[in-house]
Amino acid sequence: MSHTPFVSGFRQVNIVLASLATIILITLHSSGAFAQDQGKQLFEKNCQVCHRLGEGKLVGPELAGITATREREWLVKFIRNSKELIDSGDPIAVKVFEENNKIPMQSFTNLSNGEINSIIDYIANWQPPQKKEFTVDVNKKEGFTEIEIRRGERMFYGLIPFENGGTTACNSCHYTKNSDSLNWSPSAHDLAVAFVDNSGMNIYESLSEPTSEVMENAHKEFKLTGEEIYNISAFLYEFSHKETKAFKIFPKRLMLFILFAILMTLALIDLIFTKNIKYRIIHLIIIAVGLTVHFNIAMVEAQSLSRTQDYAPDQPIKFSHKIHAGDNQTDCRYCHHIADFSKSAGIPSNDVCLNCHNVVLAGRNSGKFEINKIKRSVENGKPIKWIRIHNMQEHVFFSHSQHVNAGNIECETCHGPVAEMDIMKQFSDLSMGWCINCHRDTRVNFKGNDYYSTYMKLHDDLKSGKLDSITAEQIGGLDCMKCHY
Amino acid sequence: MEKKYWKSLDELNNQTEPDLKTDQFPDGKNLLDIIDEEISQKPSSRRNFLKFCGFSFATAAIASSCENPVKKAIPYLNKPEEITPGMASHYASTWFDGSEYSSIVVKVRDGRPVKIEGNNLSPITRGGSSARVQASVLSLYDEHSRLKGPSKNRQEIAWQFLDNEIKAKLKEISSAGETSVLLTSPIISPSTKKLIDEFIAAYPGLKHVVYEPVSFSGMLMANKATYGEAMVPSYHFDKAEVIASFDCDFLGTWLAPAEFAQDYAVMRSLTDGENRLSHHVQFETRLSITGSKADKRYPVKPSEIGSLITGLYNQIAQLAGISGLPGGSDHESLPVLAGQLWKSRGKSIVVCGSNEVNEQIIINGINELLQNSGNTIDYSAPVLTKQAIDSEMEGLVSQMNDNKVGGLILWNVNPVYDYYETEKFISGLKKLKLSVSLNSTTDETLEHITYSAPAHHYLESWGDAEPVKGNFSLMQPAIRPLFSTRLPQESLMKWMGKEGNYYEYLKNYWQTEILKSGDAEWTKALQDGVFQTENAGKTIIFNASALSASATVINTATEKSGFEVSVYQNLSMGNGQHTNNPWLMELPDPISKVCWDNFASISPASAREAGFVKGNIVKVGELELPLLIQPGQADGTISLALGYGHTAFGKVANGVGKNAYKLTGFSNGNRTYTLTGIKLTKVAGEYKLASTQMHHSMEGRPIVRETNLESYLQRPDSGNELHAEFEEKHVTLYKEVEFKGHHWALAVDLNKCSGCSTCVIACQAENNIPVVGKEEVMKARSMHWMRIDRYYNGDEKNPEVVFQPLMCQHCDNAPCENVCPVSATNHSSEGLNQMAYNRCVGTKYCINNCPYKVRRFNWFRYATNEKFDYHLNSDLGRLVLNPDVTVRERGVVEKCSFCVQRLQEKKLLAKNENRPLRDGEIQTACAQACPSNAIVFGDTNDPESRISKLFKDPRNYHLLEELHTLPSVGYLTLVRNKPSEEA
Repeated sequence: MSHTPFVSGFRQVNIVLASLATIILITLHSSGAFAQDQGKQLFEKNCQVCHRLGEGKLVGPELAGITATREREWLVKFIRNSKELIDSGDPIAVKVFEENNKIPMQSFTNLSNGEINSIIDYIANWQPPQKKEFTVDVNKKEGFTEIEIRRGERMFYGLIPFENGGTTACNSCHYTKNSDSLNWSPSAHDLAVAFVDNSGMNIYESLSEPTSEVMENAHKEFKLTGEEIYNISAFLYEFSHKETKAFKIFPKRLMLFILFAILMTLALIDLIFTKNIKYRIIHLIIIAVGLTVHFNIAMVEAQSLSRTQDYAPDQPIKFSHKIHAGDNQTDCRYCHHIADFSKSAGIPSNDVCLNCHNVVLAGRNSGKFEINKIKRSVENGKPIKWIRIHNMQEHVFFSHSQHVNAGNIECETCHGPVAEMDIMKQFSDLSMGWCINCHRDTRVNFKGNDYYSTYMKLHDDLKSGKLDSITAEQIGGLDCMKCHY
Repeated sequence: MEKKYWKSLDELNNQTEPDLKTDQFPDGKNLLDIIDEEISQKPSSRRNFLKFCGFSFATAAIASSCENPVKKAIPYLNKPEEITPGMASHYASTWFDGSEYSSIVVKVRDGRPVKIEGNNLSPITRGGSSARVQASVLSLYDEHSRLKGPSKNRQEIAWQFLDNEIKAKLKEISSAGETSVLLTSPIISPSTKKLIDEFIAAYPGLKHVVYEPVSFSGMLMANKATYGEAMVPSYHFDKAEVIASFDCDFLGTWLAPAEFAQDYAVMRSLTDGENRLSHHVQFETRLSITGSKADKRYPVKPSEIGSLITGLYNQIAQLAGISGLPGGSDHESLPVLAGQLWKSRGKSIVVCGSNEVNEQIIINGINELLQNSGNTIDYSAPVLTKQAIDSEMEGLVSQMNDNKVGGLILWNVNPVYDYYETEKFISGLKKLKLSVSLNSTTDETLEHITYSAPAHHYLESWGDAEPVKGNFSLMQPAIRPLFSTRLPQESLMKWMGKEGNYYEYLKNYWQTEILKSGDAEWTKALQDGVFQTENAGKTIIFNASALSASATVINTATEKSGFEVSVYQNLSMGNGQHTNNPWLMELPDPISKVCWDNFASISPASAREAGFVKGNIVKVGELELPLLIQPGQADGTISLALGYGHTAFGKVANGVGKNAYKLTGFSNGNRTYTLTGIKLTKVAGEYKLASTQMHHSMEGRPIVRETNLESYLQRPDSGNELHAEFEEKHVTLYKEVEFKGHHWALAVDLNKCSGCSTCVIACQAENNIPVVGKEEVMKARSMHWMRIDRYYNGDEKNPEVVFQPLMCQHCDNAPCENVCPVSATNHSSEGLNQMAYNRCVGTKYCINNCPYKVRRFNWFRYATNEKFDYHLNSDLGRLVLNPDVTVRERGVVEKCSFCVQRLQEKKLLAKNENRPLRDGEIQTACAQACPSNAIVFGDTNDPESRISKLFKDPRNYHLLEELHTLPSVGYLTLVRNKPSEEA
């Protein structure tokens, strides 16, 4: 059998060839898909800031269907360098430029022809997302029956399993008891409010077509049917009328106080009337310890009366300073810009948020849900009611401008490591002692600011070496009427 | 010899003030007695003490478990570019209430107007304002008297409904050939005048009548007779070396007092090397602030004014070598005065406050003889704020009663209150087919009116003004309308079927008629608030033919026996339009020091003669009024203030005082404000006026120092010799405080201060000072941080008067600071006497120890207490509060802070701009408001500052400097321009 190996050898070659061909074919085939993917990625990276597909004009014009009205060659030229095309007097380019408030489009000379073409391919092949058809009334937001509500409730709590799988109960992420800022997922109450709002969340769309990566990952195993969503929306409708309360910490100190009050009373009663315990030293010890505890509690509580260090309330939006100021390195004074010249640092208005969030539509942790609250607030004309954390007493006139602008003090000095805080909290105790201590130690920019040129005597002292620097205290930083008037 | 100053007649006559029982409750019980009683009713024992101890422990425990309230921070949805939370914006606007004009700047904090300042860019008011202008911001938030929306027979209706009905009725009246009348206060808005012309064109037969309760009709008629034109000229007191004034309170209420005070101060200034003073002679019935400033003052009866004027004319005519007029007084003062006037001809002013046409004609004759017309009196730039001809209103009322008027539209007038024949006016109103009121507040007239189409408050309105020919200013809203009100101009536009809004009309009018240019100029004019055009002056020819006839009329006036009554406008109330403003209501009259009432003032001699004493009630005509014995009042006369006695004007105004308009009349074609032949009868009972007179008295120490011009020119420190002496003796055992940066100080020029009280209201508005009401004022609990002390000197018949504005003196060696047990009041490194409210425990030791009596105690929580039903007890009323100043809590002491919030603001601004503070950059509220620039604030550590120069002036002295309190407030001696022997 001398030829057998040959045959087999031939066979092998054949197989290799066939498989090679297959691989090449597959590769070739998939290269089309790859180009489409590349186009999508490039579009999202470069274009999406100003153009949205299927959502009308943003900064730049709507691009869906653009390939039908413009020639590919022209499109490539325009994308590469629109200014050149406009300057050359191309009538279409000039018209586009003028139609869009004469905002020039960024040039993309860094992209190759192939890349630009892949973007154009992506736009050409783009199809608007198809809406799922539901048999139930998707616009119903109220007037659900009791049974629907109860069924939805059980589904939400995981008591009735979903038809197409998904075993985790909704309320394991969407907490129902309290508002809850430790969890990035919206609480059940937040969901309910968003649902009942007229311009609010479309629960059918968002549950069948997850709007963000975060939500997509979280809802991977859930494929809810229309009826299920309907029942859950019934539950949310009912839940929106419930009040949620913030977490309450068990008042340990108060209990301790009361406990010792009772103990001392009993000791006194026994000491004077009942006389059950023989040794009086026990009574005295109880009373002595009780009084010490009481005085200690009274002292500590009196000192911290109306002070709220570490106060970190739940906010209406799960806004993270860590992501904005820390990870993204946004300057504090981009949002709190009025701190430079006003007393107040100012909570940024919605339009400041939307400067970025017009484009940044989904958050890293919370998806679209929290960011949508900003837009909804604008649409409803209802401002966001943030909970104020730093509450200065009314007789204190603190000026941010004085400290941030004139004094050139970093925000972190008083507000602490904000860039590390997911949940904003009050870092300093804002007590008068704290203020005064800082005024004692802080050196003012005495030589650098011409305002201080009137302090002739202090300048003389500096020159003669009597003083080496001027603290806030030396220019009246401890005067009552610097802050109280 | 040291002059003896006195503050009240009791003090002059060495009588002690009858016990005011200041700290007693109405039922005669003392507060301490009540506490004693309460304590004695309960057995006070060790057990009670322990009970309280236990209670406080429990409270501590409960407090510890309490939660702090959750506060919200709500940002804008879309922040407007011009608004920054925590920072004020300023808008130029215009104030005109129908009698007084002022170009203003409105300070707006977080969307709400909180303070009014004068506009420095206006060549007319030059940053000046009056107490009423300063107080006008409060009336914006007058929740109770402002009308909230349109109504028909006091039933709310919709604007659309109201417009349709009024339009239909106006058409019906017009097509029936009947007249409708638009009755307004003077209109100085050129665009509105044009609009009214269009309105008249739309409804043929409609007439426009101008009505003013206190009118200048006499002067308008006189100028018509002598110059051929009914107008009011501009007066330039800054050019007048000699001023003769006949019952004319030009520094207080006459024509344009804020401007005149400024001009007058120019000629009373002795700072910066100036060494001349005007000479001012005043003839008047009551003691006015103008009379107080006069170098020579003569109390005269109102009926004597005419013959005095004729007498003066004759004296001057003699000097001019022309023939005199028949009659005329031979008053002892006239030859000298005529000589002085003649010597300064072309540089003098003779004015008369009377509304009698014949007197004004002769005044014109005098000014013409003195060649003042064209120099100090400018007929080429007429003042347009006075337009009412009294006979027109008189005619309207009789036509109404004769059924000759179909419809009446009232705008900013309240004739039922201030017309002299109220009944006749009301009966006329009843015969109308249509009556509409455009007034913005409820008033007495509204009760008799069918339709009310309320106007915006002026701070919510668009508008313009031309107070003096060729000088324009704009009014712009500083807040959105609070209620469902509408601009009267827009109402007129609606009723004549004109499209558009008034803002567009106004802008269009300005761009075509005044600016004659585009948007940039309009924006500039809006920003500045004012705009001037070239005014081609008309030459005016004097016609002397009316003089002798006028003199004859004056001469034939017969004198009647009995008292003469004159009614006047006082500083705070004016013609009664602002009576519902609690700030103005509680502003003490600078002369009588009485607030919350009007009264009949009578001279001491007349009172003695008639057997009247303080506290008596007298009947003047139909009015029963409390009596006030007023030194300086002309014998045989009674004066009483207008503006009180409202019945349906708002909770503050109603029932306070008596309506003196009932005593006015009409004769010789004009309203008269004097009555003769009145018999005074005493009415049983006693009435206590709320007076701040004996409060805060300085007990006869050398407080006010004065001299005369002659001595001053010889020795600039004359009258102030003590100052040098005390400076020399300035030694102390203690280490002197060194002020290393700023040392704030304030100087008051007593020569310039006219007592107008603008500063008092400015201070009240700036520093959130509460209104306490009549009862509390009577208990000496008035809260004003700044007051104007008034001292008399000389005999009670015609005393000299001195005003001394007094605020915390910010002593560098302050007696109050040493006695505070908790160091709530102490000294700052910038020379301020600081007051930390939250440290204060209310011992009031500081109040006791303050030699200047400038500290005030909060007896109540005025900001929320319902008993103090003025403005602070409602959410809307509280919007006027300045957010930069703490609202003080009950039980703490407060006082002037030198407007520390303004110091801090401007210091910060300088730091942020990296530059030293400029002199004059910081102004306290009082200094900024003072129309005569009598108050100067600054840093004495800056040797070039104005305050440093004033402190080095030989006239400068400090109050009670012998006490070595080292005040930071200086006063410049008063220098009168009168011969030495009288000094």
